[in-house]
Amino acid sequence: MRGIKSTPSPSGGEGWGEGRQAVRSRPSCESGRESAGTPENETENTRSSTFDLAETPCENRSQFHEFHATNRELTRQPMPQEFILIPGRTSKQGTGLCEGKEKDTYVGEITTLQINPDDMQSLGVEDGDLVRMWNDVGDVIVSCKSGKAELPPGLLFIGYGDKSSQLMHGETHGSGMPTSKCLDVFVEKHVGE
Amino acid sequence: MDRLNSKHMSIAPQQTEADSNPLKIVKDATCTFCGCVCDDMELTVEGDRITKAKNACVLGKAWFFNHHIEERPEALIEGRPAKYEEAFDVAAEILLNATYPVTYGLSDTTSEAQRVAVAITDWIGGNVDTTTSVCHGPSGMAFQGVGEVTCSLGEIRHRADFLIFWGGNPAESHPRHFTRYSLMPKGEFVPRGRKDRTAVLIDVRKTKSAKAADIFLQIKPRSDFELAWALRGLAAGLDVDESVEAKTGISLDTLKDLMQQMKQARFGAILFGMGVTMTRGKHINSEAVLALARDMNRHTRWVAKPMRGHGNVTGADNVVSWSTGYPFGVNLGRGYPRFNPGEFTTSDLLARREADAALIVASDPMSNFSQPARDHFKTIKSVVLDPKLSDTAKVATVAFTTSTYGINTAGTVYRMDDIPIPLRPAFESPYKSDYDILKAIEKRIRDKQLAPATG
Repeated sequence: MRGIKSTPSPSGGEGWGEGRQAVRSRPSCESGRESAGTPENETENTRSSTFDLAETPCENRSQFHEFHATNRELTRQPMPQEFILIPGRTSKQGTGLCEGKEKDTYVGEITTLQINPDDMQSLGVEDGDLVRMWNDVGDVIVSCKSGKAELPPGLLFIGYGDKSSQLMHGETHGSGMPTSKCLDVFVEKHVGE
Repeated sequence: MDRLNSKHMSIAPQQTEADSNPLKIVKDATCTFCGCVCDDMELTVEGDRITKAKNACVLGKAWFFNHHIEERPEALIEGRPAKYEEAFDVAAEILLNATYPVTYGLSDTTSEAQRVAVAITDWIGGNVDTTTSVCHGPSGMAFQGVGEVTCSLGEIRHRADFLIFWGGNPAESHPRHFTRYSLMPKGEFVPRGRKDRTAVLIDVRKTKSAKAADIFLQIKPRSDFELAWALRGLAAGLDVDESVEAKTGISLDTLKDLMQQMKQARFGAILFGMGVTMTRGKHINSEAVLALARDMNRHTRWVAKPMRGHGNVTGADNVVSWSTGYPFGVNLGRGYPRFNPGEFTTSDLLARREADAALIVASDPMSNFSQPARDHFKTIKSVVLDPKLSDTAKVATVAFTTSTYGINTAGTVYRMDDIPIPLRPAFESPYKSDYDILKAIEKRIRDKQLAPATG
């Protein structure tokens, strides 16, 4: 079973010689959904946030390649990928909430995202790396670890709590229950603080 | 209500000579961490701490060892330490002056306290809802739609030879369920215990519970309804299209084999969890699973039981049901109860910014609710009762520190199979119980409502 995987359309596309490269700065995770200079035809799901391009005078191919040659760390990052997130209970989360929700056991459990090993490789992350996870509701930074044999590709797991709540929509579809499992999210490696 | 704090519960004190550190053993105490409500705990109490919890699982131990007395004020009023009496007055004013209040939580308190919470909500014409609405509320809706073929956990222990765990991970969420009620124990009609049972796990993840199962079916996300419906078709002897595999990830041959085994069981039980209720479909998924169990009774005996997460969430269902006629999500604003999930359920009342005040008892919505609901909760006046300074208590207008049910406070709780079980407290607390606090608030509300009109 493969989960849905689609990469957002990268910025620019064709027409390097037709003017400045579109300015696209990485949205601030703290401020949520801010983005600067987003083209009108770009949706939340296709918005590219991987390439942390500053204002670049890429008026032609030569300048574009020169820029990327000197900024290889930024431009070689894997693209964000779409996953299905399962928040759920764990033993550690259960014991942790009794010890105190401000303490390490609980906090660690609700801020650690389990990812299929192949997906981790695809994302370019290792155990302990920070990843950014977002959808149309919220945007969070969490650490990651291998889900080993538990998770099939395309599926993520996290102990339910504040981080997963930030990604939950208020709609309950007339049931009183907000959709709390199988949330569509994007994930990418977080670069920075 | 002296019996709530009476000493006649089966406490076998073994007092040491030193009064400063009395040691006592509490036998047959009740753990209320999860819906298993194991009542065979043997607690060693030293002073105001439980130091040993024989028979408790890892979750139960954490529950007992971490609910000791903390040095905290009786109450906080907008963050300022306050005494109970002042806080009762402020709390009553908040609830009386609210236009559209909601009472929520109730899953980690006694049924005696739950009754008072419902009464308060009735007096003020508010909405009463419980953590059921974000747990097995969809199953509660499904009960009304298709019915529940049910039994006690004792019947499962003594009769069940085929178990399907669907959308849950009991190894981590209900650790003693396997050993005490379902998978392992020897029973009257399953004398060899595990050897007489077949266990199936249906889940999107291969969790720790999969290791305990004989058959693991890794279902695709968001396809629980289709899987249950396909099984219903097979149970009815209908032809099921092979496209079920593309949707569910489970081949038709596997489903046929499973159905064959299910029909041959003497007593089967489907035990389902949040994987069914929290995903696309919600109550429709629960209906499909419950209908499957019902259909299987044409062939042999089958039941379907929801796995409940909190110690007394089932009690909340019972109390709200017998008080109002409905289990959760009830509006009492017109002087009679109205039930409408999606309209009177707390997640919606908050996310749509409709509730203007809240009474939160023994739960922590600020930790677990959707972001829109949490954003609104921070803006309204709230009265919160919790033994700990939870995330919800931190933003409350009035936050009461309470004693902990089952550890400090006696009362009644309901196990996940609707069996009422008494609590046997281990040691006393200097803090008031939920029941006492709610009664005090209720009295102030009624005194104001019944006071002669002036002017």
